[in-house]
Order: sequence, then C-alpha cells, then structure tokens
Amino acid sequence: MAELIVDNATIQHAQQRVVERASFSIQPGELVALLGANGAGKSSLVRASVGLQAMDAGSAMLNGKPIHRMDAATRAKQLAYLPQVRPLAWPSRVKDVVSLGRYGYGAAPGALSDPDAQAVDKAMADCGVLSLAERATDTLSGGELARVHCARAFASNAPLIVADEPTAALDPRHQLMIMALFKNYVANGGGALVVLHDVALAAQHASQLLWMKNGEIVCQGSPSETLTAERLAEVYEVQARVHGLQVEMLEAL
Amino acid sequence: MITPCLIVMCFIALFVACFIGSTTLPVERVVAALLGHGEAGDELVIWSIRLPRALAAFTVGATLGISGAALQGLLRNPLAEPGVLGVSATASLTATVSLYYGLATLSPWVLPIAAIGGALLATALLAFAAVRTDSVVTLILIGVGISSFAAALMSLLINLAPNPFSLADMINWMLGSVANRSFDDLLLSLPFMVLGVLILYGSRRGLSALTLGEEAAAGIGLNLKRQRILTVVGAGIATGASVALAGAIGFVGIIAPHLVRPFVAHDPARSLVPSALLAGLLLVVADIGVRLTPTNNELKLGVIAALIGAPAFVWIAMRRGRSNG
Repeated sequence: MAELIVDNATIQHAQQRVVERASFSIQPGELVALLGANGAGKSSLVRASVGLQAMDAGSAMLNGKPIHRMDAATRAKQLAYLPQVRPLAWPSRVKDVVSLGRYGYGAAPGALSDPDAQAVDKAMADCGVLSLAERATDTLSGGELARVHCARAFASNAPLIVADEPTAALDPRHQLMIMALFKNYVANGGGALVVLHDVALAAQHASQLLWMKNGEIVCQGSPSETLTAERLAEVYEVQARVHGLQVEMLEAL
Repeated sequence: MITPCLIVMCFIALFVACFIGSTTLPVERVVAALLGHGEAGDELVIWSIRLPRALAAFTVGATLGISGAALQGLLRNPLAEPGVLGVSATASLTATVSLYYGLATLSPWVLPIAAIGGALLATALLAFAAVRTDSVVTLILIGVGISSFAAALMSLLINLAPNPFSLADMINWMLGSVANRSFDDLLLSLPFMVLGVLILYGSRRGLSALTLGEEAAAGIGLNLKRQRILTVVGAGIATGASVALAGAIGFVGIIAPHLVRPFVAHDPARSLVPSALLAGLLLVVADIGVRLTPTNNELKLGVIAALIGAPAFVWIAMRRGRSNG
C-alpha cells in the first residue's frame, strides 16, 4: 500500500526557517488540501516532500524509503508531482505532453508501449481531453491546459499525486472540474495532496485540511473539525463567517 | 517521414557536389570514379578533392545541427547553439594558439588536436558548473563568459600577430571553410564527432521531458544533473571536432532545428536526427554555392553561413519575442 509520510520536515533558506517541523501523511483514499497564506512555505514543503528539495531536518518516506534517495524513475512511478503550471518550452501536441507522464516507465513521445498507450488514452479520456489529443498546447485555454497537466499526472498510474495549485488562475467551472478529477482519482484508491488557495473549494472537496502558517502546520483534520472563523483569522488574517462548510470572507484584519 | 526525405536529399547533394567544380565531370564519369573504375585523373579529383570536401561539409553541418538541437532542448531556448556555451570560441582559441606559436607547422595533426583539446577544456568547465548550479540561466551566462574571454584572447593574439603570414593563416581558419580537406583530416575528427553524436542521441529522451520545465521534468523521473552533463559534454565534443575540421561556422546549429521542429511536433528528442541531416545538407549545398561563385578569392563557407544565418537568427528571435512577450 502506497503512502507518503513526512516527519518533522524543516527547511532553511539563507538562515531563515521557511518550514518548521512539519509532519503529515498521504494515504490511499485521502484527498489532503494544504492551505496557507502566500509565503507560508507551502511550495517548499511540497518540493521537499516529493524529494526535489533537500530538508535540513526531518524526513519524507515513500513506502518506507527515504524519498530523496530514490531513483527518479522509481519515485515517479509511485508518486506523480504536478508543480505550479509554467509555460511549456515548445508548442507540443497534447498527446505528447500526456505521454511524458509515462517517462518513468521508459516511454517517450512517439515511442509508447501498449500499456503506455492505454494509460495515456485512459488518462486523456478521464480528464476530457481526448478530443484535444492532436492539438498544439499553445492553442489551448488555461482550463484545457490544466486538464492536460492532470492527465499527464494520472497517466503515470502512480498511487499518489502531489499537486501545487492545480486550480490557480482558473474560472470557477474549471476549478470544480479539476477538483472532480482529483476526487475521482481518490475514490479509485489514489491518495492526493493538493495545495489550494480557495478555502471554500478545499472545504468542499478535501477529506483532510493542513493549515500552514509561517512554515508550521498549525492544525490538521477534517474540514468539519478544523474550519472555523478563528482558524481563518489565525492562518489568513481575515475576518470570515463560517456556516458548516460554507465560508464567507468579510475583510482583511 | 522527414528523416527518409532528408537522407535521400543528402545523398543527392553529396553526389552533385562530386561532379560540380572547376571542371564539371559528366555523371557517368563521376559514377565510374566513385565505383573505382574511372580514369585516374577523375578518381584523383573525386576521391582526393571533391568527396572529402563534401563529406567534411556534411559531417561538420550534422554535428553542429545535432548539437544545436540538443542544446536548445536542454536550455529550452530556440536561440541556443553550440557557440552559446563558449565551446566553439574556446576550440578556435586553442587552435589559433597552435598557429600563433608555429606549433601547427610541426605536424598537420597539431591544429585539430589543439581544437579538440580546447573544446574538451570548455566542456569540462561547463560540466563542472552544471553539477553545481540548478539554473539554466546561470549555465548560459557561464557559457557567455567563457565565450567572451576566449574571443578576447583571440583578439589579443591577432593584435600581436608576429607576421602577416600567421595573421592570414589565423583569419583564414577562423572564417570557417572545408576547402582542401583530405580524408586524413576527416578521419582525425570523425571519432570525436561520432562519440559526441552518440552521447547526444543516447540521452535524447530527457530533452522531451524538459519540455515541461525542470521541476516537472524531475517530477516525472528525469535525473536533471545527469541530463545536463550528458548534453553539455556530448555537444562539446561534437562541436570541438567540427571546429577542428572546418573552423568556426555559425548559425547552422540554430537554423536547422528551427526548420525541422514543426515536422516532429516540436519534440526535442525527435528533432535531433533530422536537424543533423538538414544542417549537413545545408552546408553541402552552401559549399557547392561557394565553389560556383566566381570571385577572385574563394568565399569562405563560414562567411556564407553567417551572411544567411545571422538575419535568420534575428528573425527567429523577433518572432519568439512577439509570442512570448
């Protein structure tokens, strides 16, 4: 059973602690949302948790092995990572971008084995981008491109996914579509950690919330347990009203 | 589809290069000489002059083309080229040093060996830097620094040239040409060219991964440091060997990949082989043009390449500027 366990992660940049003793885990069937204000250390924690940035203390263990010492391809087959979306270097075809999700299996665009091709087709179908397969990525809308990147992550068939702001800069409809993709993935036995900026979106979809402030995870638990007006005041410095899982942001404190 | 077409066109161009020259040979005499049962004079012209020259143009173009395509994939920038990391400049410098001190007169092998040595020195520096930095921009800037320093030392050497003969020698060679190359010249560079090309071809898959950006590429299972070292070293060896054979010939490593990319769905890995073939083809054709141009001094291949290549470079840069803001 795949699981990622991060224990007491501490990261420093130029003498400054950006992440302080952060602990959490990702298990199959769980959709964990990482919340926090800009600069809270979310991206640093995520990068270190997937083994792409060194920790100054603490550990991240993927299936019981230290993740930063794992071979890149072996790790990629167990854990798919979606960093914040950056422009692609070339106007590649959608199908080729999704094919890159199979890189850890030795595949390359235009050189897919049968299992690779099946996984790529299934991922494109699941994310609703099958009809875009032959399109160049520079002709896509932001929402379409976000789904292409999700398809790329799902194509790896990795049991765990870590995504850094997959809904950034998307309209509400596309945000909901992306969250539906992750919920579907989790419902099928995957485990996901998703960095989100939209508290309401997180509360509505996630099974666990990690609240991060100044590099520390100040609280974690289910949305119904941890989503309170006091928490929003502490983590985001906003005055808000909370009704169940509904959030109404009032003003900055 | 594009690769077989280019292979056929390369063979046609190499064949045409064999029967065009100061005396144009009829096709049947060229074929007879190539097959080894032509007249003695024809065989001498074909096997000692025209074919080695055409093959030199092709191999130099091909190595520059594949190096350019690989560096563009690594640096995710269509304006990268073998010269951008300072390898050509360093190879030119060490070759010029061997001319300056008259070492090149000791043996015909000194000049090529010096150029390859310079290229390896530059690639070693870059490989060392590539392990230490995670930033492509830093790597490019280090290349620009190496390039500028080599160019400065080169200017110093030309400034202090002891006599007009060594000055003429240096400049002739720096302009870039494949005139009067023999099979012996070709065979000294060829092993390095093959080694560099094999390294680049063997590591091509990672270039596709880098389309996503470095962080995502690492996320899908690419070993970034290893990829950087392989591409930098492969391109360095290949470029150094081509400088050894023909001097500095610029821009072909930018133009060929640019033309090829739309035919391979903009996939850097699949652009390598067609870029090599097209760049080789371009230089063979350009060299035929050089030989046909009726000027008193024969035009240098490197000069023609730059005259066509530099405006094309600016055009590519401006188009890129418009689309990327």
